[in-house]
Amino acid sequence: MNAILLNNETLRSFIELANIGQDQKGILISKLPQMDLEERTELFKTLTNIYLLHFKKEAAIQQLNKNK
Amino acid sequence: MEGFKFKIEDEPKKPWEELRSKEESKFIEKYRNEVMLDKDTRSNIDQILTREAEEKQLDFAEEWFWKHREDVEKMGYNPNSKEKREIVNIVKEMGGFNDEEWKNNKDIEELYIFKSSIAPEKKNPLELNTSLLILNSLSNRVDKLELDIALKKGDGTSRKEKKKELKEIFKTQKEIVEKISGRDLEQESWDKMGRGPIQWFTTGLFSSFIGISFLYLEQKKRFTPKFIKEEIAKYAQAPEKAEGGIENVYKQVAEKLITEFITEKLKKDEKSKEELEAIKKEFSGPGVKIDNFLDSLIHRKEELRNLNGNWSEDKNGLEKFLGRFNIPLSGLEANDEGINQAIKEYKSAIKKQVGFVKWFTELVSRLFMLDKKKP
Repeated sequence: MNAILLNNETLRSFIELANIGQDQKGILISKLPQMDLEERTELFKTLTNIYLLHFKKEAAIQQLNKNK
Repeated sequence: MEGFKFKIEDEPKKPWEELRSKEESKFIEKYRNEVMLDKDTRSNIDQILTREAEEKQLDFAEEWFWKHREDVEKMGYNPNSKEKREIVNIVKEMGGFNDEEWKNNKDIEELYIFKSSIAPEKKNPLELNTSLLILNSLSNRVDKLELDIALKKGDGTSRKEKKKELKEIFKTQKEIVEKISGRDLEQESWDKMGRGPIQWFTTGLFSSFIGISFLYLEQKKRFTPKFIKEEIAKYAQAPEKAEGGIENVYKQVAEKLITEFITEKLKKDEKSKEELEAIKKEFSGPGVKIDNFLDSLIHRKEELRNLNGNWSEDKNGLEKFLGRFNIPLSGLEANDEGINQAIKEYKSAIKKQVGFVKWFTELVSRLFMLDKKKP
């Protein structure tokens, strides 16, 4: 199967999307081209968790604003 | 300091242990009733701060462990040890806790401040500002526990125990906030929302109190009860000020997850030229819009619209969605234990929003790995 979800371009944009500092983004992007399938799968899971955290945070802030 | 398993010997006198200024003593005398906490709350805080200190000790030990991996291996210890408390003991033996990094650890310093300010009743009452610092520290602990529960972190404590600790922390926070503000949160909760304050974990009003403590840390002001009451009124109208603190907390958690990935999941051995060539070949090419992918998952868009929990009916929708990313669901015909388990869990996963995304990500990862094993 063509692992399009795990290729360099997809993962690079996923890394950019994450709510983390620029230096961590830089480290991940520089190591990305050498990552094999297992590492990319783990990265994908980690970035998904971070995205869900962000989603949870947005929901919490929305709740905050609802209670104004 | 009781409660800390590791003792730092012969520390020089810390600034907060030196004599208080005349004004501060007057302030304490005048407001001692506002700031004193009862015995149960103090004991609660003590336990919670001890637990937090142990966590920080463990975090430090794990990082140190990996940084000095070669030395650790020379001494015959296995870096893959699953026993986390064992790592703390090993690092102690190797002198990691004598390092400058540990001794100058700002978080630990703060915890010492908090613990030293939990004083016996009627002798040294808590300062108002340390109540706020404690509130802030407890919030950090809440965020960590909630994350550990959500990520199902296996660290020796059960989900039930973690939930119990959350309840204890909430009780403690509520008491501190009531003491500072003079408000009866229980009554207000029933009046405003028709339910008890146990729901206040995530409501805006409670977050506002926590927001004040973040503001304090930024500005390092000395609060008077009057100032607090004015600030609370302001935050009730403009809770976006509390947001800055919340933003920061989530960012820190995200960065910790990345650090864990880098230190634990990235392979340390160099890959061969052939392996790198193969990787380059397999993973170049056009990418997909990942935010569309995640958005569809979270909000059940497009092919995922009509999922109802019945696997045989829903399989088509899932297959179509995956097909867009060239991931054949026919991999499920392979007799893989992990995928069979995923199918069993589908019915309950579909009922959750965030849980479903996690379930789906796990399934897709398994499909990738399964495909790799094919001859």
